[in-house]
This record gives sequence, C-alpha cells and structure tokens, in this order.
Amino acid sequence: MNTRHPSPEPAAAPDEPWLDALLQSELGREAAELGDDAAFSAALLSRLPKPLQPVAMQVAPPLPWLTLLNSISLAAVLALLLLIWPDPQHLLSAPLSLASSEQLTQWLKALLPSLALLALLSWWSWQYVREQA
Amino acid sequence: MSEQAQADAQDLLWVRQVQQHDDRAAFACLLRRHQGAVRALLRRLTRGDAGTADDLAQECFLRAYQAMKDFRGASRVRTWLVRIAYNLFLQQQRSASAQMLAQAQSLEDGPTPPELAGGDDLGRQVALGLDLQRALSRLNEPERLAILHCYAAELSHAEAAEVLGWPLGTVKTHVLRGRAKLRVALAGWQPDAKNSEQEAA
Repeated sequence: MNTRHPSPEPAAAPDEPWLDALLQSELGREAAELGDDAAFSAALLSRLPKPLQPVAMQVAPPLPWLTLLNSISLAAVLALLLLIWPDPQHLLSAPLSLASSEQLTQWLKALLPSLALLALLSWWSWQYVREQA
Repeated sequence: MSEQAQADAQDLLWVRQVQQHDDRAAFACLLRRHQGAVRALLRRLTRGDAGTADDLAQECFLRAYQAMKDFRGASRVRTWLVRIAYNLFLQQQRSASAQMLAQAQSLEDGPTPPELAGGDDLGRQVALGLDLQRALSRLNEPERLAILHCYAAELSHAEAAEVLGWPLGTVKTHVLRGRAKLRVALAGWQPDAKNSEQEAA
C-alpha cells in the first residue's frame, strides 16, 4: 500500500505485517502480470483516433467576407484613381473619340502608371487576404 | 527524490508530450506503466469478470487519451486514471447490477485450506488467490472498495478518498475494518499459523 500520506490512524496494526505482505504480493502480482500485456496495449493503441495533419499541410481557403472586402477595396481604388486623374472626363471619354492609333497609344501610355499602381495594390491586397485566412 | 516521485515526474513528462505533440509513444509508455494496476483493480471490482474488466480498462485509457489535454497535474496520473476507471465501473454497474449480484453469490463456497491446495507452489498460489477472492467478496461494499483502491490500485488513503468521493476518515475506517475481516478470513495463511499447524501434524 502506498503510505506517502501518513495518517494519525495507523494503516496497519503492528501485529499484522503478514496481512499487508499477503495483500501486496497477491494484488501486486496480478497487476504485474496484467501490466505486461502487449496485446492489450496494441489493441488500445489501434483504437486511438488518427493523428491530426500538421497545420502547414492544410491549405485554408480565403474567408468569403475577406474576398468580398478585397473586391470592394479594388473597386474603390480604381474609382479613386479615375477621380483624381487631371482630366478624368477626357480619360473616360477618350476611347470613344479616338480616331487614330496614335491617339490610342497616347491614351494607353497615359493610363499605364495608373494600371501599374492598381496591379501593385491588388497584389498587396491579395497577400493580405491570404495572411488573414 | 524517491522512486515514487521520480515515476510521477516521468508520468508528467509523458503527459506533456502527448498534450503538446500528440506523442503516441509517450502515451504507450503511460499505458504500459499503469495498465496493470487499472486492469487489476477493475477485475477485482467486477469480481473476476476479465472480459468486462478489460473492456472497461480499454475505455478508461481511450477516455484518458481524449481528456489528456485538460489534465493539469493536480493529482497523480495513477489517481486520475483510477478515477476514470472507477467512474466507468459505476456506470457499468448501474446497468448490470443484477448480473453482478448473481456472480457474487457464486463465491459463497467454503475456504480452501492451505493443506488441501497441494504441496507445490502453483497449487498454493491458486488456493491463496481463491481464498483472497472469497475473503474480499465477504467484505461489505465500502470496505471492499477501500481495500481495493489502497492495495490493488496502490493509492494512498487520501488519493482513495479523492477517487471514491468519501471523507478521508471514512476511507481509513473502512480500510481498518476490512483488514480486520481479512485477517480472520485469511488466518490460515499466516506464516506462524501454518508453522504451528505443521508442527501439530
């Protein structure tokens, strides 16, 4: 018997050490025999739930609301760019009034910095969404 | 540090490995260390029904594995496992109480005197095991539970009180009373008594 917690009440009378020895040997022998049972261990270990995959292996899809936020932010950036352009009316109406390829090229060149900035913001926004997900 | 304290510290290390890394090898170590005591206790509690006892022991360790993330080390791992096992036994007992009563009554045979057990060690061992089983079955339930938790599961009185949900003094009283009854029932196995019987013969 484990006597790590001594008590004022004696666990065993002084004249019965044989009884303690008998109980400990008989019950302890049974525990020792049952403890050395590989079949029991194997059966139990096979019943354990399968281990979880490491987190790095799992690819979490972006959250829907983050994707929506991403689209809205891109649209807002585009609208802002068009509004702050020096001559937005000219830009918006330019394709319709382009009479020559030279004018079309000039219009595209004028729009190029704006498109590059938009692409940069899109990439940054996409990275942000992935990190949040 | 005592051997017991070292074993308890090792238990906690294994528990931490299971909690942090889902370490199956560490769980297998815990299983090997404690399955004997848990299975032996359950066999005694179920009065020798090895199949039921092992089913309960398997369920006990499965639940322990699932609940291990919540184990904070407030008690010894052995005490924690025995508490799970005992609660499972109580659940099982509620659903099969009539069957267990029938099994208990089948043990009401007379004791096997040591001299009838045969002269070899194996015969003596079997006879002692049967006598012990009968003697335990004649204790009342609180005495039997207290004796089994303290001897078969190797818990201290305080730990047995924690598992059983009894006051410490109640556990001590039942252990003392149970021991007194066992002393009478197993008196034939007392070394001096056997010597005196042999001398008389």
